Amino acid sequence: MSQPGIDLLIFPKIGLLIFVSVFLLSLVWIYRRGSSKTYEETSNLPFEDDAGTP
Amino acid sequence: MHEPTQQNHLDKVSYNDKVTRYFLWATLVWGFVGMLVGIIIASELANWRVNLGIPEITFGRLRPLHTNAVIFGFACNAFFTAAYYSTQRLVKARLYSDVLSWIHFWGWQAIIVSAALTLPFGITTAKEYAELEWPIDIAITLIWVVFAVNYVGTLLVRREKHIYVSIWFYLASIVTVAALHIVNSAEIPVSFLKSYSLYSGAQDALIQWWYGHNAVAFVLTTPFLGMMYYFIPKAVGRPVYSYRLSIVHFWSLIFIYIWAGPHHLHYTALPQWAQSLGMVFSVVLWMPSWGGMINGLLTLRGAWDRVRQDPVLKFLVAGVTFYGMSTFEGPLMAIKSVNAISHYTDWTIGHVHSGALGWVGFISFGCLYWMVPKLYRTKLHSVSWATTHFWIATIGIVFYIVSMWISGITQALMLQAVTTDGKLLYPDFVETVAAIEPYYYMRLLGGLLYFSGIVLGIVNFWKTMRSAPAPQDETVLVPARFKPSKLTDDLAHATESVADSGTLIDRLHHVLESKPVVLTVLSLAAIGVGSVIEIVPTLFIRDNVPLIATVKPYTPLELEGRDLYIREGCYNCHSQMVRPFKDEYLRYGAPSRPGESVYDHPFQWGSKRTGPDLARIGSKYPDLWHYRHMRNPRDISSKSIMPIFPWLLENKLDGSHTAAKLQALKKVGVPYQQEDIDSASVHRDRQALEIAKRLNEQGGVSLTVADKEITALIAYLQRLGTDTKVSVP
Ligand code: HEC
Repeated sequence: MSQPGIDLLIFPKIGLLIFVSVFLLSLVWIYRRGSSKTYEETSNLPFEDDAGTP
Repeated sequence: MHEPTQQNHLDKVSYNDKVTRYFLWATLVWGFVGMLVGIIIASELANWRVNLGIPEITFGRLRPLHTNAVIFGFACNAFFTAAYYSTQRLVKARLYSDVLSWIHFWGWQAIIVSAALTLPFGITTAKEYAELEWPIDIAITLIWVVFAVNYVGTLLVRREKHIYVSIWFYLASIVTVAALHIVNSAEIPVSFLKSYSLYSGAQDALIQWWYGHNAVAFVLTTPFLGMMYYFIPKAVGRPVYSYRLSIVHFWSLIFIYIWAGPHHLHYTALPQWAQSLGMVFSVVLWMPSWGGMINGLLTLRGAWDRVRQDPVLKFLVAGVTFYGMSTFEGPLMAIKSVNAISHYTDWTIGHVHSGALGWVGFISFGCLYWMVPKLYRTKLHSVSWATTHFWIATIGIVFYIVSMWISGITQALMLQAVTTDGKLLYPDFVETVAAIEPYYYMRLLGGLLYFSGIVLGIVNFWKTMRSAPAPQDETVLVPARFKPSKLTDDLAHATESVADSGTLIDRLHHVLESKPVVLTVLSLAAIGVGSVIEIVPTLFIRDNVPLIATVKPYTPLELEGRDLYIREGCYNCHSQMVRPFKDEYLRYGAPSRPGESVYDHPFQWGSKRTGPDLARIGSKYPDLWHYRHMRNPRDISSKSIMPIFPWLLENKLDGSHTAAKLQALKKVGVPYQQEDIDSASVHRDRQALEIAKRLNEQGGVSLTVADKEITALIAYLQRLGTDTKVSVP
């Protein structure tokens, strides 16, 4: 059923490879230095509107 | 870094809460309508008489109305309500444009109304959850663009540097839904209210389920995750358990979801590699889903006692729990050997409803119970009513899911059962239908309970609103810390920050997590990868769908019959896809091959077998059998739950577009010749007369049947599977 020259089963492998890289990159990204403060601030955003109401 | 410029200056911001309140009531109205229609179709399955012999409310036409009303009416309006409410508060800015907000509101409601005005009349494309015809598809695109501009515009005029994770989920939903809708709805118009899919057979199936599955992902999941990340912290009064986890959750989820669609097509004529891809990614999907669930639930750490008192938290917590349940069940059902049992049965229907009623419904109502008192500046009319709503709805869901599990598994096992001498234990499909009928009543009861909960909720909201002071937009004072006002500014900040002295990482962070445009582009890239790898080879590698020489395009009359099949929504109960299993071989014949449906625009593989597969129904019975069966299936099969279709025997076939239909199909690649098109109506009438003569010989049916719709439908049914009968062993 497959096209001569293209092994279609390569696609799932490519997909998985890309995903694992995205996943690892995002792990490195969230634990970068200095991120804690940013995330602390950002995760408190839902509560800021309460303070501002006149 | 971009430092706060006017730290001491305070801006007065008034949120556009009026449009939010409108969306809120639209959510309730469509929730009521959609679920009421759900109750009706559940009764029709429990007892066929409920179809009442009225074409417009017969199961096949009403089921798409149910799904469209709950998905696009209820769930989308809930998303719009929550997104507009939370985003304005998270970015401390009024919605970008009042005019666009109102166009969005009225435009979207008009779309749902037009669904209600077309689907019951059989005006449908037959692609599940994308049934609306092409003019409405265009309207959806336009209104969605209005929504996107209004939403991104709001982010660009925000007064807050960081973009909270809920907004990421909303944004990803907006861009992905746009892409899904445009690709899947590509169609060629025949007339004002009729079109054919640009794709056919296996390709159409792949694109449809890429769309269908990702509609679950980006209409019914990501918006509600965004809601979860805002409203659970609000309701508990503490930030999300792990903000880091929410970021990993976001990227992994949107990246993986997009690949999982082919699990709807296991064991079908879809190429193997695409099925494997769908299976692997569906199982991987379990991880980010549970990561998100755990993150949501752990936000309640130390505050679990509050769940006892607060109906908002009850709904939200139970909603997240149902999310965990259905995202465990989903990957399980995507494993091929499990799918062999679950697919085409009520198990799938149960699975969908644990997601729809449990996750989408409960998160929506949790958020609504939170927002209504805020938006009307008063207290909820009755907390105990809300608690009652929660409990009856929960019991309703349990009834629903359990009955569908039992019914689905029972039917699958009965259908698969083979005796020791290799024969089907239940050769008559209808025996399996009779066995599960009690569970259809049980499901109906579950639906009724859930629905009464909604009615109670609506009355509660109504009373709350009536006791409230005149509603007004909330006005707040916020520090004008960060205020890019135009897209150009936004981009300018991006370049500015690169020029700043911060570290590379600082700058990257700035670009990645506080730039809506960049975020949007990256999300598109994440979903783009999976889509391209999955879809492009199927479209362009012809070998994926080898042609079969004996498979020929439909005759004009058969084509008209096929359009009636689509109009009546027969595909809602019948598949046309024989899987490669022994019992299916014995029951239906040789497994379907991709080449058999190359001229099917749209494909008719179906997704549920409430009745038997019809891929090889052609020449199984005499014409008269179909004539009598369509008039009343009970005349032939006493335990049948199939509706009656007597109007097909009375209505004259509308042949005014026959030639145009062939012409349109020719444009999308069906090899009709010009002379076929020129002689379409003559050929059509000649074939109809032949069928009329046979009906007359077999059962004395009057020859006037020749110009009735039934002859076209019979022509189509009798054609199914006959092209390959000779060439298959
Ligand atoms: C509510 C679900 C439902 C709908 C809608 C429905 N059917 Fe059926 N159909 C059934 C059931 C159940 C059976 C099995 C019992 C019987 O033969 O009536 C069946 C049987 C059949 C059979 C006989 C199959 C066989 O191998 O014996 C044909 C043909 C058929 N349906 C055609 C249609 C057509 C054409 C439409 C649309 C106009 C349609 N059905 C709509 C449920 C449905």
